[in-house]
Amino acid sequence: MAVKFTIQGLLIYMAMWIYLLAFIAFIARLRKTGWSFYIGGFAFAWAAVVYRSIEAGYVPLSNLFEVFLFLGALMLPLTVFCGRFLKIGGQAADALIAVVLLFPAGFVFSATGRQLPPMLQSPLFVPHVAAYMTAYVIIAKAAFQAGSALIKGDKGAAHRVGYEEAAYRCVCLAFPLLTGGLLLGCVWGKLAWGDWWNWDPKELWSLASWLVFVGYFHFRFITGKKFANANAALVLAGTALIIITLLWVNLSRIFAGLHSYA
Amino acid sequence: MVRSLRAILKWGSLAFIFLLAGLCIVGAFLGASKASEVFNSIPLGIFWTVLAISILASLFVFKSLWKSVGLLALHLGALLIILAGLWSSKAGHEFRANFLGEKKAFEGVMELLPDKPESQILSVADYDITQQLDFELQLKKASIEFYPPYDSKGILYFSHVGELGTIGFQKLNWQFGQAVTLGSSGVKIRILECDFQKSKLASQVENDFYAIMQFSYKDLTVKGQLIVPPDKHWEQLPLEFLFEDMDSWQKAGFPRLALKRPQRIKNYNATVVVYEKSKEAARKTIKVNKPLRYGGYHFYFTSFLHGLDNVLLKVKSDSGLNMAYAGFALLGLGAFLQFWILPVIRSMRKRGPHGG
Repeated sequence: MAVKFTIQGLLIYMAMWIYLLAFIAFIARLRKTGWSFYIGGFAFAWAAVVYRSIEAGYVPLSNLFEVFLFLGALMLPLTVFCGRFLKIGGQAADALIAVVLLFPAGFVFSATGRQLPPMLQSPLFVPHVAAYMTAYVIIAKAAFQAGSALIKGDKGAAHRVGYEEAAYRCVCLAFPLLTGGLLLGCVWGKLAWGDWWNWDPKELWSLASWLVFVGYFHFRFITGKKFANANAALVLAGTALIIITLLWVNLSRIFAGLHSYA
Repeated sequence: MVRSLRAILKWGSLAFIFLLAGLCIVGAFLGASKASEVFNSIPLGIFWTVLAISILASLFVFKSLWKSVGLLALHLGALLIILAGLWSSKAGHEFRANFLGEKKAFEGVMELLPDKPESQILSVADYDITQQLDFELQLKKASIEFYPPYDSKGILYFSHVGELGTIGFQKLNWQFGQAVTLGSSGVKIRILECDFQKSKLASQVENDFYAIMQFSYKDLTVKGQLIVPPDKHWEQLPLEFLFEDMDSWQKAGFPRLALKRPQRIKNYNATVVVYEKSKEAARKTIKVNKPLRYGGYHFYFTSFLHGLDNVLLKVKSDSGLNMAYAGFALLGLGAFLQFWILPVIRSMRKRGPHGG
């Protein structure tokens, strides 16, 4: 546990607490109160990101603490976008996801600052990581919808699409970012290490998760919604690979490689 | 016939995609080096070729792919990337050398010395000459860039050869004026001064980092000093003179004391000039993330050898790189078109000009 008795910690815990209140309010069908809390949590989450940026002197995406901090600040715009343009609900779930995403930043990873190593001083660093992280947040939402599709069947609330369709729309939104992150990584790899593909464990896990979503699109193209559970299961499988890529691969010595500094 | 071919291609592609995902997971457990061997082996070479052929066949069989710019770009991009991978691989270089007579090193290293032009690429494994370039590289200047110091105290390491022949390191937890024992030797060290610039030493230059220390062992007391020059991260002091009557401690130039400056490395710089027929053709300061691209190769900074006098560059062939970049552009563009742009256009068309 890395509890933080600092301004940084205070901002994270405030964001988590208010996001949790938003979740409770949404569950209790207090829509307006829920949204007020959700916006409040979002403001604290961004304050934590900005505080970190100023303290570190760079865009905070260089380690797992910073990455989870960033992830927790992305949820509200995603909820608004998905609700407005994709007809996908689930703001209560999103507020809860935001709490879960901020938990590692608040309690697991150390906030000790560092100066960027030579490798991370590249103009591709921010777009590469930001594209991936944004995709991961959207996939988290997709996974929630896919899980609901498996548990509750393919229903949807009034004026909303069904869970399976919602998961599909989320994956469609995330996939270009996932692809962009992968390709930017290839270009960066060529400039930094000499090859655009190095068969590094993290590269292979990233490619595996990307391929599962490619497979998901192909499968859905072939069978449509005939096997809605299989579609949902594929989204969850892709999400599981992303969690492995983000956590196990970064933390375990089994997968030591070129990305180990992350 | 066409219907069955379509079905085969649909399900076959799906099987290929999941098989490749599975192989990636297995490869991740093997580590980069072994995974590279596996994915570049002959069976996997066949797999890549069949995968490329199936994508190509899909482009002919599924006319719907030509009706959607996004889908077409996605598939063409994937195809180009696989072809670029095959073309730029070691096997691809060997194939072209054997059948097309193209003599181009796949990869290698170059050791550059100041004021000595170099044109030989050496093999990574045994430093044998693998390629003679028709241009020369010369090192003009090399340096290390540092961040501002995070502390004024340096980091001291005592290193020695242990009983099993392995080198042991002891990070010294030191305070000014207080004695610290070096391992179990009984030799004590006391740091008298440690700072940037303010030294009273005659050899001091700007941004030197230095430490003055006192060693004591039995009745012997000796002063020593270590100076880390501005372009170096650390400097070592051989301590054999202190261990003259301790034979078991003296092995292969050890024990030593190393002083590391309390600054992290920001970047490595190696200014290199390219000469073609004795005329300067290009000049670049190579850094991490900023290689030199010239004559069909990329040249990367790898390490310094013997201080900053020699620089070791990694050399990588650029064959197939433009094809790969074209594939990246198509795949990326295809994904954005297919999943972001085209749905928006479709939705706008559905609503009509008045948003109805």
